[in-house]
Amino acid sequence: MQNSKPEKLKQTLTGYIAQAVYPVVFLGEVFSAKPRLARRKRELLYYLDLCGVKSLPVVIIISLLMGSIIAMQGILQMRKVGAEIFIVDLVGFAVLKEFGPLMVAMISTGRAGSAFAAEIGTMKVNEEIYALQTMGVNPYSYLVYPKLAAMLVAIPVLTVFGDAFSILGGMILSTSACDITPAAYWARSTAVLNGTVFMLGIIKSAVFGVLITLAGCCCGFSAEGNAQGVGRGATQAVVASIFLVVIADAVMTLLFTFIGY
Amino acid sequence: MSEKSQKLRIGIFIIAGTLLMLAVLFFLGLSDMFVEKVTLVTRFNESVQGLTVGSPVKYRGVQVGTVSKISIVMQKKTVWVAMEIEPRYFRGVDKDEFENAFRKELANGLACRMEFAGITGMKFIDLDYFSTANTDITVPSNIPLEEAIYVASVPSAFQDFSKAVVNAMERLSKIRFEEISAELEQSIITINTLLADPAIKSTISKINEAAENLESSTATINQAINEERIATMLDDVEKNLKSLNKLTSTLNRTSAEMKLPESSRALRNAADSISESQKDLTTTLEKLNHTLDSMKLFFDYIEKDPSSIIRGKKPEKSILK
Repeated sequence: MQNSKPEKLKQTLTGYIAQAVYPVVFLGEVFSAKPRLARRKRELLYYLDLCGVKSLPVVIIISLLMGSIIAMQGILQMRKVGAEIFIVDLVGFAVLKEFGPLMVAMISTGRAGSAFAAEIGTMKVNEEIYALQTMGVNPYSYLVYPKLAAMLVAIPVLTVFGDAFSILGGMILSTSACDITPAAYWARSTAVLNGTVFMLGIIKSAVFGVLITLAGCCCGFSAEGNAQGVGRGATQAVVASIFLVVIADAVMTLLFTFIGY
Repeated sequence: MSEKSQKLRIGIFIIAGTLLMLAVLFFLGLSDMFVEKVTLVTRFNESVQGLTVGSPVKYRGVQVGTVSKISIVMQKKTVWVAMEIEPRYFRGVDKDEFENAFRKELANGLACRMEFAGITGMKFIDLDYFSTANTDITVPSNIPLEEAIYVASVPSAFQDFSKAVVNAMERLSKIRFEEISAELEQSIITINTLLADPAIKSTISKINEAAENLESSTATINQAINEERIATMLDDVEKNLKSLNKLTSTLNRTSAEMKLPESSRALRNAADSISESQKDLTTTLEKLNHTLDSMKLFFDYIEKDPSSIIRGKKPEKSILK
């Protein structure tokens, strides 16, 4: 028997509302589940390896280039007023406050966020998640927490590397393109930058890590149908992660500005 | 890939990341915790715009510390600035005795002054021996930080400049720009009206014509008086001048030979003689005239009475008769 039009509309609307509300339900499910990380050491190490160690070369190369690019743009502008030494300030603050955490988050979105969504989506399509539930295993605890814990460790560590190599990239370019010596660059960096700015960047990166993980897992859990659904879920995870990271960055930047940083 | 090597990689990653983070933290601030610092305090009776917490404090150009606190005393309209300087920059002074040594320098005239750090408007505090005679080095009673060393402040060099700028701006503000603008507008309208007058237009067109004529004349003159022609003319002029010179010299010589005084005397005598002859001639002519008159009378009489030639003139009848 075919459904009438009002019923179809009702089903469509219900579907949209369910889709819109699902992230909230997902959050509730995750935070109501017990972490039980001690039992999931193997997975934790796997994700640390995937999101941290294997992302490190990419992070180092991109950060070096990013620092150099910022320094180059700074040199072009600062040279006009003979204020090349302020490139150190520009690179330092831009990297520690924004570009370091943001670039690492973008790399992790591409590597980890999409991988999480694809992995969970495939499990959902293959009904492995239902199997877990049947066996009495909470899938949110089993699948989300190891990823979350790994990302909480990996992303800040990657950000530390990213910050250091961005500053190094800026130093290499500044010392080769300007009359700034490495010693002067270092002295200026240590004079103008401070530990608080650095730590606020690390805090930002941890928040980004949580958001990327939750977005990836949520999109994985909401994947439906077949392999195409998994692909859609992975794409959605990347888009949602980038969106959330940028929104969170804006909010945190405002918040840190209000407190004087 | 074995689980063991995976754990090793992760371990290295975590340890390296943590060490790097600690190193960055150490160099970017934690190292300051282990550095001994002395707090200085000063007050400014001027604006401290451009001076912020963290601004450098320099002793004769060497950065020895930073500004740590800025506060305002509204009643006295003064700004208190606290600074932290590091005794490690001062060689030859024992850290324990640094405060006493610094106070001695203050008594010798060490003071502080705000200076511009560059073109960005940022300022720093310069500690130096300024040659300002009226620096008040007496320590005020209401220092915000009791343990801090008070450093007298000298008005900054740009304070006078800023006063001058303010004065200039005040004078500028007194200029009645609106009235000037209105007058200028009125003048422009008048000029426009004047320019729109047909007489002006015809004058302008005439001036244009005249200018064109002048231009064509100039062109003609230019065409007529070309370089070759000018050269020819100059040659002719030169020749003529030479001839004139010769003529002048000849005239000079001739005039010298002519014995002008004697000649002029003779000429004068001749003129006198001519004058006298002229008088004689006049007398002669008058006599001749009388003669002619007499002859005319004679011939008229003969004509009237031809027989008179034979008989002679008749005697005149007497009136008495």
